[in-house]
Amino acid sequence: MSLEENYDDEVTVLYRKWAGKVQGFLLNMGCDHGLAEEITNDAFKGAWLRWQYVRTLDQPEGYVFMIARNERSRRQRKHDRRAKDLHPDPGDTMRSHQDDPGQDAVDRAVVRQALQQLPPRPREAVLLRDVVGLTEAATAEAIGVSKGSVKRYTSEGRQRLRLLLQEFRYRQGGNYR
Amino acid sequence: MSANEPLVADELALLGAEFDDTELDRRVTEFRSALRRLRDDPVEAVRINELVMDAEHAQLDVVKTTGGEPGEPILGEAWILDRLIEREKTGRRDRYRVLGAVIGFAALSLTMLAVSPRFGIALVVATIVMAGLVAAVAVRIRSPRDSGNAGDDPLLDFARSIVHSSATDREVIRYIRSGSAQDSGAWPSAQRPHSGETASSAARYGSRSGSDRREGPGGRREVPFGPEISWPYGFRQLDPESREVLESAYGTGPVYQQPAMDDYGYGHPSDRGGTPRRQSGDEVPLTLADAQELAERLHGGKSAPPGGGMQQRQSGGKAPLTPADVRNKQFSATRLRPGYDEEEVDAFLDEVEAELNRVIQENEELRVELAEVLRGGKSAVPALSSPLSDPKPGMMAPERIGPERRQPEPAPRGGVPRSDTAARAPSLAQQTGEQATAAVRPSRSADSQASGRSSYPEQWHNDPHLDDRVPAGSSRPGTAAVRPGHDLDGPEITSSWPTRPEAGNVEPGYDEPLDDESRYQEPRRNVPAYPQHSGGPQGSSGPQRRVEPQPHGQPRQQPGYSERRRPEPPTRSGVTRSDTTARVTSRAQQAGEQAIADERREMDEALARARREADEIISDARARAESLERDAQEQHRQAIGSLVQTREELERGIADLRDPEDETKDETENVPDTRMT
Repeated sequence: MSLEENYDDEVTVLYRKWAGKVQGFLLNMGCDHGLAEEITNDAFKGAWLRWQYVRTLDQPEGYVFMIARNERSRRQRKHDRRAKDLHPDPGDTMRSHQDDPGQDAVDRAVVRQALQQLPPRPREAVLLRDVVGLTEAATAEAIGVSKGSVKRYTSEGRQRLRLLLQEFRYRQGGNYR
Repeated sequence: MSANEPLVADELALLGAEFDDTELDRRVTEFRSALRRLRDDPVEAVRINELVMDAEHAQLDVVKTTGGEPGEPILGEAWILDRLIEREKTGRRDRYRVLGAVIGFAALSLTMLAVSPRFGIALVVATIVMAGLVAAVAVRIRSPRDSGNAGDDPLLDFARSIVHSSATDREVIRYIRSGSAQDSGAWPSAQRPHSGETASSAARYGSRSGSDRREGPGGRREVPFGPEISWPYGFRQLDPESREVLESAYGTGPVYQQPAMDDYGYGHPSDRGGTPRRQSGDEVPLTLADAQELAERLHGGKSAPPGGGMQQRQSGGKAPLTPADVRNKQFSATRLRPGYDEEEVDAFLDEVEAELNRVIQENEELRVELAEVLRGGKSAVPALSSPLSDPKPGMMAPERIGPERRQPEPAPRGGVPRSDTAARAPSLAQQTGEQATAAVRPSRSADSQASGRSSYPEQWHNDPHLDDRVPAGSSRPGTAAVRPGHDLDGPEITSSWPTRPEAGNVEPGYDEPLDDESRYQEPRRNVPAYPQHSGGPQGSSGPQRRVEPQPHGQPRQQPGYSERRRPEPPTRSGVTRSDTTARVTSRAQQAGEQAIADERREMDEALARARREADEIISDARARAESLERDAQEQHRQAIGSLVQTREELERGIADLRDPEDETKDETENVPDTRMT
């Protein structure tokens, strides 16, 4: 590994900016806290390993999200294959490091629950675009689809999420907002 | 966006999580130490590397399942696919080559098994062993390549598992995604992710990144269709061997041999024994009916036809099979396949065979009988060389009655040497056979006219002077021996060949190719040169042309040559010549030949009788003429004597009258004398 030393600094800058979002994305995707943290670190390590290429990208965070997302789904597949340690309710295990009691927590739980009901692609697209705040190009690179597909997935996810939330509000009897 | 959209975005923003500063610092320091550990820990590095590669492979999965849009940059996909396609192609090529070799060897061994079982079994065993060896070697070849690649190129290994059997489809996908087939070297950076990499990339991805010079401009391997299809420097020159093969096949070289027949329907005259009319197959031949007619003319119908008895003997209840029957036999054409109906032809040929066998047997007896008769009567010998002995031109086997066949014929003909016959034939025929000739010729000319065949001019039939040229032609050795019995048959002595219109008016366009081909024909002929007849109107000073008939008959006897250039019977020339037809024709030719020989023999006998009759008549006439001449001369003498006597008396009377008038006569006679002087 003959990587230069300043790569560490550049990757650290990237880490400082995007690590929280990567971890939040992973948490929203159903990972528990420790797993999200581990995957986040691994994703940035991979970026560091490929830094000679990743640094040429306009949005290196897309690459990092790509690795993190793939790693998460890979572990999810492994987890599902083994059929143990199954999370019946991912929302229960998702714990944000900024979780606080109150209405926000309730709302956050509601939105998370609604997100869990989305198909995977729109859910990823919505998370990356709206929650993490990635650009379309970075989202496309992270998911591995085109920008048009990102748009399509994003709009589809938003539409479904909106319908889910409206249904939730209707069931709450208008109590919710 | 609907009104709910920002609402949803706000709600989603609730999910956004950020580290606080302390947490972030903790994580950053943790991450930097992790990087340091990663730099020193190859195991951890490999794990991360696999993680990254798995992510990149997942991109391939995405590409495979979702497709994409033109021009859309896809990370590493094109690059990976190029490598994969290349490897797949080379691998398949090698596999197909080995497989083809094995299959070919198996086919060879099976063939040998069919030919010789023992050796074939050995070959089959060898094939099986070879196939096993090839399989083992292939496994050993493939496995180290895979394992070797697995060390430095796990990406490719993984991707190969994805695209192992669908490289072509992947290629198509890549074309679609990359937008065009000529996306030159300037790819989007995402599509050539490691183009600027240094040694580290080589360690990870192998020594690729543009180092493969066999690739096209778009990183695409040029598919080697091979030089078998395109020849970049034009068509190559033929090597001599191929040229020879081609020329022998297409007839442009010296190996080419001309067909036996030309377009005029007759080949070289020497092929048919100097009788070109034999090639004109439409000509009606002399048949038994002709002989009977001739006999009736000669005998005045007072005696039975000579062949009649034979015919009656031959008939044996049913109508005898004549060569005319063979010739006029009609076979129905078959449908959907060329040729005659085989069964029909075979049945007919069986009939012909049986009949002709019987006829031949009878003819043997008759021949012995006739030989005895002919030995007894010498005057009948020249009559044997009659025009009727000439083979029938339109018979089934015109070429069989060639010179080589006619030569052995004198032996059964009573043992009289043919040369003697031929030497005596012209004068005898000219003097004694005029009646017979005159009787024969009109009928033959009428036949030939009826046949409408122009290749045999009429002058040959009716030119009696042609007969005189046989002795002149006999100055060449072998002519008399070769061509006996043609004394009365005009066309054989074809001194009129050059003057015949066809030969004289050979088109120039027809001359030139014949000259060329004659050059090739010339070495094939054993006799180097044709007899020169420089006086010919066509003035052929060069090599003899094939269409040009030989005026001198056939001075040389070349059975092999004649055999090779044997022409097809013209009556069959329009028929498709399958093997069946050829076989049928040959058998029919043999049968017709036999029939012709019998016919000829019968007609010889008939003509012998006819000539004997003619001899008697002519001798009678001559005797009468001589007696008349003697009478006339006597009368002449008597008349002359009486005339002389009367003249003498008259002269005496005149002298008596002049005696008293001598003076006056002198005076009167002197007057003009004086006047003149």
